[in-house]
Amino acid sequence: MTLSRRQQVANAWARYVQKPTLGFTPNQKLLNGIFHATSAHLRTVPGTRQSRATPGGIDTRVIEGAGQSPNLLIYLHGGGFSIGGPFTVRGMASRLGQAAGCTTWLPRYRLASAASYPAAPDDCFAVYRAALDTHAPDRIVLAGDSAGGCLVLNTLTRAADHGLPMPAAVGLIAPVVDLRPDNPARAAFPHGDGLLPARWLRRSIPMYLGGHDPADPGLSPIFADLSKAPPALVQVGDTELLRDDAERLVQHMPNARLDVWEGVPHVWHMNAGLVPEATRAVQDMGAFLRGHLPP
Amino acid sequence: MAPILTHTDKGIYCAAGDFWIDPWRPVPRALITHGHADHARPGMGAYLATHAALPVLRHRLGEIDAEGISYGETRRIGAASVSFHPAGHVPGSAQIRVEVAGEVWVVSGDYKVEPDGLSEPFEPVRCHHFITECTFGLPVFRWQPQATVMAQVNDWWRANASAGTVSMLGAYSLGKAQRLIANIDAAIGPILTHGAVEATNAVLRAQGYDLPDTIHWTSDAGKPPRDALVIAPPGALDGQWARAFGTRSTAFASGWMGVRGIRRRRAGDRGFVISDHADWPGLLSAIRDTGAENVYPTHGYTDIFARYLSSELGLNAQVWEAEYGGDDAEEVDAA
Repeated sequence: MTLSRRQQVANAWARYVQKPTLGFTPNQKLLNGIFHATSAHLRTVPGTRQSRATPGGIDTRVIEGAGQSPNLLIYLHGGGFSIGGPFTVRGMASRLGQAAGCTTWLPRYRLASAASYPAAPDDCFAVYRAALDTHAPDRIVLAGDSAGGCLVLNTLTRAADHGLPMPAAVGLIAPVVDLRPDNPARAAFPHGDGLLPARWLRRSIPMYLGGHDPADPGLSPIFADLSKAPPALVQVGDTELLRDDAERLVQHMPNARLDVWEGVPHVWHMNAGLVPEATRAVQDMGAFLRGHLPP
Repeated sequence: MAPILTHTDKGIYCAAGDFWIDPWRPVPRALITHGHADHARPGMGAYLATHAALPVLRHRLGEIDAEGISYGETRRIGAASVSFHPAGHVPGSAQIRVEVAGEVWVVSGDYKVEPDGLSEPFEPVRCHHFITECTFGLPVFRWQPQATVMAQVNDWWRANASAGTVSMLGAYSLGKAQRLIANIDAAIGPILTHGAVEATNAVLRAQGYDLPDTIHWTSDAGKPPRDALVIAPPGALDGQWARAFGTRSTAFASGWMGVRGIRRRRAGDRGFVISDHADWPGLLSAIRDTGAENVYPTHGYTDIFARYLSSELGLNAQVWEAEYGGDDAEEVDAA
């Protein structure tokens, strides 16, 4: 394995600190607090400004570069639908926005602790609708990691259902695409995942489902009609729990390309700016999105 | 900075990802272009090949630690970004693209540019450095279109069938045999196969490749139908298995049948010139389509080909020494 020294340190931190924390902290609110506190060092890229807005009535962190870009990235954070927020992903999302040449919106969608399905996809869709009021669809791209990737795909499905235009492209980092608890694919790498403990998914996803059928196409993108989806880049680690979700997604979604990285944990992008592998992955995703946007 | 791919005594090596491509000696990690014996050798710690090539690889190499990858999917191995692209050589075959810090190398493996109706068609891949095979890298090698050669095979078979003579066609058991089976006129008569060919047919059919029905013929199967076409590896054409068919007309299907001396030495009744490698115009068009300025011919008429690329096309061409094909008699038939 030819990982950088920094990625090796990040892997050790993920496996021996973050993974047990996710697996054994019973209280999701406490876990969310820990997640936020340990994200404090993941600052936005220098030279960007942050402000607040409420597109579609949803509290949203806005990150802008030096020049005002007419292009927009809506980035939906991960965290198993139950933790995380604009603060936890601001570092990587600001770098992704910069690489894609976009203004970045980080919506604070409702988490499962406050409201279960369909609150989160409702909020994300509201933001997308609001974005269409101010931006041409070919100037909008969506991206998200993990549960955020699921919400990106949910947003596409809802937009198609409402006859709304698709964004120019989407970027998906290890998206959750099948919310069934008995999803057999997850068994492929039960211990291989360097960050995500299966037990945490078993706890957080039912909280989000709130009794809804996970095979509902509005919930699990793998059951949704994604035939109208725009070009997508799907990045995933080679031994993570969600690798199989990613593989199945690219088979299901025309125009989606899979990009598998070896030896990295779930959403290694979090350390963009600090760890070479993370920075490279974000830059590649940004270049992909930028390639589908007008200058 | 050292080149991204280097020549080592084990094969083509990428230091940025610590892997080898089609290595000929055991290494911890091998990326394999296709399942032919001179490219996929036993004893590697781990194999990475296309999903389409894996079943044949497992069939030939047994229990191996192997992983599949789709065409066009990228895989990040260390600092290298790797992807596999159709080479059109045999089903599942691939060119391997390696990118490190914006510099792109492509290892062609074996390839042909004419679609054969069975293999995933060749796709040119833009690159800065292209390591290309040149098995038939001489201007004398120019293939006729596949349809023309298949018509010749059909005519030969039809004439034999009406004369009550079994038609026996020698073809390499992975690739060429299936290409013939998929493209000849199966209405002329039954297609019988040697065990080596049928085993590969079974593997490919299980993957979903569309092949007409064939009958696995064993020496104890009784009297063969006289209008049959028998497809067998060239090595089986003069053995006991073949003699059981009685009166027969024998032919070979290979690019080497374009060379008169080889055709005569084979002592068959006919030689059909059909190859799974690119001919001279095919090699030149493939190289042009890569846009590469640095080209490394390997495996074939490398010296002459490299000289032509440098002097006539103004490319930076250097021979890439390799050990493909040399110790494998059957490889001639793979052509």
